[in-house]
Amino acid sequence: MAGRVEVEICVCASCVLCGAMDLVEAVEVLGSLRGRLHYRARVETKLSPHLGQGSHRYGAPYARVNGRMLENTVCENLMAAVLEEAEKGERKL
Amino acid sequence: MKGITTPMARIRRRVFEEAARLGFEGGGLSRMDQVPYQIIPGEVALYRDSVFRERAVVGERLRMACGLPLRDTGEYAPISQGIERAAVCGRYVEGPLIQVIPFACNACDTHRFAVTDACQRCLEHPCVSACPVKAVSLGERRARIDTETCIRCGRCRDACPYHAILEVRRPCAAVCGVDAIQSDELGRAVIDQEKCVACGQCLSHCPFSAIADKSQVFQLALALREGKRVAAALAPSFVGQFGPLATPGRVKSALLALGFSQVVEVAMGADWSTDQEAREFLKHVGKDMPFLATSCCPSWSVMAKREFPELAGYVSLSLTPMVQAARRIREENPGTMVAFIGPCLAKKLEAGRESVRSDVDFVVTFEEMMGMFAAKEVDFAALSESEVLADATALGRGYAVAGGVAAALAKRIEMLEPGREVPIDRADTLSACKKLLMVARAGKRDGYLLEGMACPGGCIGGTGGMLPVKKAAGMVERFAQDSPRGWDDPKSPPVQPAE
Repeated sequence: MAGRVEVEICVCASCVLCGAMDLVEAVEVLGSLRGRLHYRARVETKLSPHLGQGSHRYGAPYARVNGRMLENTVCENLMAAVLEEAEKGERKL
Repeated sequence: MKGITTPMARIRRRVFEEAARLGFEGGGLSRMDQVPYQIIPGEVALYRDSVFRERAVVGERLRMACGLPLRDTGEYAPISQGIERAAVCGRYVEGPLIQVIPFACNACDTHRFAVTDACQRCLEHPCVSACPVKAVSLGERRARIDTETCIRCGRCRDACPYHAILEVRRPCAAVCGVDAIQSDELGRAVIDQEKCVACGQCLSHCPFSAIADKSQVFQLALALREGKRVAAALAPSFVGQFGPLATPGRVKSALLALGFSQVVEVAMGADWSTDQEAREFLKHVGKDMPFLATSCCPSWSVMAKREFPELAGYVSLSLTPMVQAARRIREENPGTMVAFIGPCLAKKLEAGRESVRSDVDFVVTFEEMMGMFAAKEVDFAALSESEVLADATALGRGYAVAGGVAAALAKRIEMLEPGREVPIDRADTLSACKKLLMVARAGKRDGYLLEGMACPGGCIGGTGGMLPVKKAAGMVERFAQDSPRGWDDPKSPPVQPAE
């Protein structure tokens, strides 16, 4: 078993406004590049109506990767976080 | 950049959110001056050369989002200057609608050829031999082009075996189908308002996010806050635009929760347009008109009338779906204000026309509407899905995608006169539309129905949309298939009352 990366993406109004749907697509792209990126971990994406507590006015969009919260998330940071977690899984093997 | 939420797109949308918040919260409007500090906090510039410039651009964007004009860069004025006068519920967008924020513009070269790293400084160097004016020479590591001498013929590019020479055009001008982008004395882009048809493509293609359009998001929020009766007229491309939780039923619930008095599908107006244009086609084409061009896209019809005046009479006289829907709302609910919510910037221009002003009070894009939802922290997950949208047929809903208008008309014509052949030609993007009209002018489209759409992919490619075109097309198609209404509905046929 090559491990699992759980990605949660907040799709509240503030996060959608700030590009949450692009984050979903970015994780999907990672899946399609699996062969080139040489990772075997299973990446699971979940959409959350509201991640964490409080208003998302300033930190949107929010995402969480294996429990680590990311704010002001951009596609490149999210993809890097997912790959980092996937790599950790590989090392454990 | 359509379909990718870049940091600039994020700032643009945050501006809409804050403009909506100003309207929803009311109170002292001079706090508008603080908004750039909320959107661009700290002392370190993240995107431009200085944080002050970043905030200044946000300030101008905020003014335009509140329907205010750009400030004169050379004179002192607070961002909030004039906001009290703009705080009027029924205020129309005053021109110019789309403008370049001068100090945000990169003053990109209008047109040049550039040698890239892919150049191998090869022995043959056919680029040098191909140049008719000796503008290409071999530098130490790669070929170089003397921009003063270059006549931009592109022969060097065509000759290069490595494809190492690129043609670079100013993105806003390259995408403009009516040649409305000019340069000022500092080389910055300016929009020739006489030529502009407000398709908004320059806005979504500017990589420096220097182009913005005026908005009524502030005035609409103000109207809702003051309890005015405002109906939401929702364009059919809304599906999926507000995120995965925002199902059609929930979007309706959310709009009602914001304070709209009712939610109506603009596709209902599209059904009426379909019926009128189908009858117009049958009555005139092949008799006193060589062809009929659709009228629903305002950028297309304005361009056609302006640049092909001899063909103006062949553009359908049918009112656009937006106006049809608005008139029906007003007939049934006198005194109700109408807010069109769609992906289109040109609808703002259309709504500002004297003949339409009395029908449509507000035009906001999906991006602007999403800003309003965010300002009110609308929780789609908590909203009821039981609200139903059932005003329009599948044909009317299909207007949102390129080819949908012509397909609807062809079907309606078949219903009215079975067996009648309807040859169709269509184009999306203004430059393709122009080519279509040139062919028609040459007499090669006689008997045709011509569909023109200014945005790539049709309305779903509109600048004010939140979704990539391909995704949006799939969602509209499913939404159209789900329509519970048919043309054979005996109680309420989707034709204009006069019929």
